[in-house]
Amino acid sequence: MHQIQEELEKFRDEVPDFVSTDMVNVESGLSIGGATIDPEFDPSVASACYAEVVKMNRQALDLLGLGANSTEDILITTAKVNILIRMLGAEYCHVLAITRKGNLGLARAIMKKYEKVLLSGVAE
Amino acid sequence: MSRYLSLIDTGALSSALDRAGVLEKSAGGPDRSTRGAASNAGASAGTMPGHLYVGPRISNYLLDSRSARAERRRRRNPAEPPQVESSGTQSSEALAPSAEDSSSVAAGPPTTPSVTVKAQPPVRTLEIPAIFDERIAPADGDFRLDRRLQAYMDWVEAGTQCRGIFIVDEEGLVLMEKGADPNLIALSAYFLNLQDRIRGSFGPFSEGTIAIDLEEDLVLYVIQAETPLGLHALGFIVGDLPDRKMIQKFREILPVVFSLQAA
Repeated sequence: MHQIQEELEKFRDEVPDFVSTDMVNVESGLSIGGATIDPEFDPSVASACYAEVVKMNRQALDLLGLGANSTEDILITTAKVNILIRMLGAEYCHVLAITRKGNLGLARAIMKKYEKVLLSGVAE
Repeated sequence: MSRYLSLIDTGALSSALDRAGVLEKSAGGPDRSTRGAASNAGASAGTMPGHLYVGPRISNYLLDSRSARAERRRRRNPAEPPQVESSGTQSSEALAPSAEDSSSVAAGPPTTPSVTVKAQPPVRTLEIPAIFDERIAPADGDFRLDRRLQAYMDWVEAGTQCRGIFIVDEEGLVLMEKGADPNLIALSAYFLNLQDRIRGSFGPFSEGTIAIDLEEDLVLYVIQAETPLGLHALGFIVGDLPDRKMIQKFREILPVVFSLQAA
């Protein structure tokens, strides 16, 4: 878990217009690591809700016959921040919040870049 | 405005003008032959009452568009001499051969007109920078994607002297751009999608290049490459066409930018 925290801090420094990040266990809804630049914005508070979003999305895809685990990422846009939820295997998801002026393309690419290292941190 | 003009009784108007002496004044005005298409067609207020003639305005518009086209052609090929507009108002001096021309015709035997081959402007070969920017694949293990993308874009920009550059992912989301029109980026994403479909139809051939001819001798190049983080594409807008070797080099380096190991 220590490695995950280290990697998430590196990730925080790399993403332009970063607000917060969190790694969540989808089944339990528990946060297993996170980083933020805004103390008032605590992503772990919402980790259980993000896990529910992922579960609901799975159900919807299953009903549509698109494959429950076929999601790559989920984008939520709000008035202040954009939230990207990227699946890390079937059990975990990586949540990133960036400001509205942040670059979604670059954020997605950086999330992809950290995918392997975060998964290896969970496996340890 | 035209709706109101059509309500005007031109017969009544001409008689009113006649009474006021305006028509007499215009009759002593410019010669009919210089009035343009209206007089050629014989369409004056007297011959066609109830109609307002707009011929000269239309012909002016046509002349304008013709000259605009010629101007555009001239801009594309600066070596090409400006074309003489053939219009009805050309002066007799311009049409008559000059004294020099007449003397050459009188002195020499008749010669067959020589075919002049227009010299093509040389295609400038842009050199690939010899020193590979170490920021792209730094030895000190700094793999920050934004810095590496920036370094890669700087390198391409220096090599091509492009007017706009961007990097997009397979969904068309921009990772980084500089001076590129968002519409062109969207267009590139569309063509990348199309290229994927073509690839699906014709079997496996790996990364391709799309070149779209834009206005004013500009070409948009979109170079696609499979990288460790998925399919990505480099797009740039250039005036001078880069050679195939350079395009190949750009394609080879793009996956290195996204790789997580030192080159």
